[in-house]
Amino acid sequence: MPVVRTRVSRLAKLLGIDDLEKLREALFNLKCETELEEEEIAIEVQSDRIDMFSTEGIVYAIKLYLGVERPKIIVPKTIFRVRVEPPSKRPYIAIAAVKGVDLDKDSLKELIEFQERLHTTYGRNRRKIAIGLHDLSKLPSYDITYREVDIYTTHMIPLFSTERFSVKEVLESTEQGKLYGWISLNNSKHPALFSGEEIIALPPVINSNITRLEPSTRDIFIDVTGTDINAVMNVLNAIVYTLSYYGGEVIGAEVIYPNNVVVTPDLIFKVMHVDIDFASKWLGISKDILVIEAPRALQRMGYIVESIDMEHVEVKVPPYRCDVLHQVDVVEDIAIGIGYDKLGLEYVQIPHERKTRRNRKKLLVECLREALIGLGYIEINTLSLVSSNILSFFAEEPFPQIVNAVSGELDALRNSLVPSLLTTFKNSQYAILPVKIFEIGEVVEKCSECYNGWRNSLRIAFGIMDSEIRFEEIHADLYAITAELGIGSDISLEAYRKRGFIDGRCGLIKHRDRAIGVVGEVHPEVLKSIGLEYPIAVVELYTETLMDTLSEKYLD
Amino acid sequence: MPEEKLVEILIEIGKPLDITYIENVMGKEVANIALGWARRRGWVEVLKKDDKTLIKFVKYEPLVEHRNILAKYLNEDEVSKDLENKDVFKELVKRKLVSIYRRKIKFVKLAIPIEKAEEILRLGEGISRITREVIVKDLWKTNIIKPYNLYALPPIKYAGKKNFFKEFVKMIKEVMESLGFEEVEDDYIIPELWNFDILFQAQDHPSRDIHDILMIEGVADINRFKEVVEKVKVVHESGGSSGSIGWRYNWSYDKASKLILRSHTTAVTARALIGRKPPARLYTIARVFRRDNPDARHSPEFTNFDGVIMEEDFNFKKLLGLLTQILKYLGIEKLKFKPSYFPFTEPSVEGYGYVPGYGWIEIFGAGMFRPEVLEILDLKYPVGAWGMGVERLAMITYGINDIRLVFTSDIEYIRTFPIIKILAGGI
Repeated sequence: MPVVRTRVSRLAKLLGIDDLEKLREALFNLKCETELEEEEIAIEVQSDRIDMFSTEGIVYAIKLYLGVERPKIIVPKTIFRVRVEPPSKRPYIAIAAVKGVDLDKDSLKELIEFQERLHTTYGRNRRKIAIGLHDLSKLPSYDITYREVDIYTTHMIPLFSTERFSVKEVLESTEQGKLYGWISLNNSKHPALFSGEEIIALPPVINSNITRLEPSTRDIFIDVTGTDINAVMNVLNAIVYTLSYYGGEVIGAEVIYPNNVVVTPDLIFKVMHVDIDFASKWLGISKDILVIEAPRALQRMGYIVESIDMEHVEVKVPPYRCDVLHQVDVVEDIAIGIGYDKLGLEYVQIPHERKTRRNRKKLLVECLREALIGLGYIEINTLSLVSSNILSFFAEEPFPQIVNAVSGELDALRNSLVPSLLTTFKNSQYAILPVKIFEIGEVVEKCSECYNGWRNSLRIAFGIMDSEIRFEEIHADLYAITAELGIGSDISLEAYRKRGFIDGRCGLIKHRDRAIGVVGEVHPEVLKSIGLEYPIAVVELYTETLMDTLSEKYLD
Repeated sequence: MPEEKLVEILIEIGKPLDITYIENVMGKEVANIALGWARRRGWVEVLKKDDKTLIKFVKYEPLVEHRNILAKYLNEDEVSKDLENKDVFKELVKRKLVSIYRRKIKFVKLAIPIEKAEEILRLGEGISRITREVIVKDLWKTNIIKPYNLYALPPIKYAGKKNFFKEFVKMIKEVMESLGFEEVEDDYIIPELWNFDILFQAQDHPSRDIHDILMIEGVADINRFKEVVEKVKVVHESGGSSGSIGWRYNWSYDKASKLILRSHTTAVTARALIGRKPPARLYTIARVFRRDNPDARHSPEFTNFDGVIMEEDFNFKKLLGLLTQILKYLGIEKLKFKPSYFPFTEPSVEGYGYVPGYGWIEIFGAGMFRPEVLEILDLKYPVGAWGMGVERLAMITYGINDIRLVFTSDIEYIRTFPIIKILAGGI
């Protein structure tokens, strides 16, 4: 989630209050988490509220919430004309300028951070939208063009440079060029923003040095480009609202596409009709109370309430609220405006009698746990992510491999619990022997007839590690637990060859003629490869099959 | 000594003697030894005359010390350090006239008082292990049963025990079942469709990024869920008939088919709700996966507890009430609600619980399923949903400060986790 950092003193100055607790409480209700770090305050804002990605935006939201400010309507004066020949990989642009911005060294730094926050989150690392901020007074001409240029034959002065380079050189030699140069490159063409004959930006890569912002800048020219017209417009609105916090004039543009004209920024409050019945049912607040409470609640959330009756509330949605897609979003703001803690609670009905249906799986699992604990085994709880290396010692079937694993230690999902037991044994070799453990957990098996190719399967495995192993020990425990399940007399072993186990010391466990699991001693070669120095015997049971063997008399 | 014998002969004859004469008298071997040592001591001279070798007497000093030493060790005896270092002694060793070897000595001393030792001697063959024979044949009447050393520590043993975390999960399941909730399950490997798309999460949402979720090669055949897929497409693109404007982009079937490890279990409860009629109360407690590096606070795999409730007249106030009820069962009495954002709920809320010793702790995320989600899931009535991380809650309950300990492969940690703590913590 984006985090906005600013000095506490700056926040207090902008807000005109220095009651920190009141401030933090307001932020809490505006979905923010705050952390004080000496002089600074770090405010974690929600990713849907891009208007709160800046200190000014947060201050505005708090002022509205506290009722010390009313929703502000901005009417831009349209001056710029922007001709667009839509670049194929980045067809949309929105332009505005805000005058009289109160910049200094600190606030300029914050402004750049705000821009980066929009780039990395909502802008999807400049792929979806990118922002250019310029000093309006340095603009060579108000005649603005947005089009593709040939990267070999077109030249510009990139930010923090005094020399002119070809666009190709800028893309290849600047740090930003290397990071973002690929995003909108279309063979030998790249989008560029012209002021007169001069390139002032190479969206989404870099600006020109000609229009560079400085702490002395007072009037800011903004370009937003991107692949989604709505996102481009939304971001421009959020920036304009932030910069106009200082009260300066907002200038707009006529953006002329080949087939249509769009005026930016579009700062019109969109009208929305919220159904009072819906809001009442959704929140659990009676209509009478809603009609009384909603106007104040909505206003402190930045809406302008046009009218309200028992049927509808007509609200104007602030142009920076791109998160409002449905009337339910306004309903949430009514709840927040009233305060979640003031809504009251309504308890749900608890069933008078408990459902008596006995769950086969639960019964099996609990029975096995009881039996194994009685036999001295300790239950473990391990990750189902394991290393493919250890899995491949046993796997006869494919297992799921993670494409983007963070480490080789956790790059696959287990298809058996045996590797999990072995990992535990390995890390417990220093402990007093014998080590007797068991786990009941899910594994993932290949499933060719499943729609997703895999399926979860519940397994149970137990094992012993000791200075020497006597097969009869685990064999006896196996018979003990099957006896506890009431199926002991139908269990037999059959010689079995299985990867990872010693031939002649591995058996298929059968209930009548169905295989329910495997018992065996792990092969010394496998043990050594894993880093184990003590012998190990294990049993793994397939609970799905085992469940079928349970007598019906124990179930409903 | 041979060299003395040689000198004796020379003195007796009184003139230099031919070597062959001496060899005849003494034997060749002994004569050689005698001649060697006599020359070394300067007692004789060897003269060459014509082709003869003559031995001439020079002087004689009796080898008293040699003889004394040999006499002393006629029987095996200890050698003093001084003597061992004497040249004469060394010479005798070298000439193999004496042999020397080293021997270690151990000393034994009675560690108990004499009386005690005598008592042990007197008791003779006492009984150490009581066997069936001892009882049946009354052996204990004629023999003394040896006392144990009650002050010695016993060997260490460990009780078989249930895992504390599994017990904690079981406790939550019991709470949910007593509240009338039914458990639902699904696979770990699912298409993005269930994890994101049915929850109205836009396909370019950052949380769907390769940096956040774990991916599996391949795609699912989501064509089997045609109705849902069609609804997802329409609602994402334009809101469908949900009253929403939608996300306004081109929804991709391929993206929705991609296989991932589920990153939350709302994917399980939401899918299980599809097409249900109210009332419905579902929950799940199961593993989820994120692309996180393991550290004290993060695990790439952890446990989600998710629930959904649908009733004809369900609402946000009831959801807050239900969560308060559940948390009371889990031992958290004081709660506060913070507005929050989740892509699939509106209103959205985060619950903070007050835990003595910890302060206010974020416990759950919850909210009412958005109308867009209801439309996709083909539901006609409001649904409340919540989710929480179980490990964090268990860690608070048991006072554990590292999530990796919940999944530990160190048996000693589990062995020494007292059962009393498991039972007391989980109530």
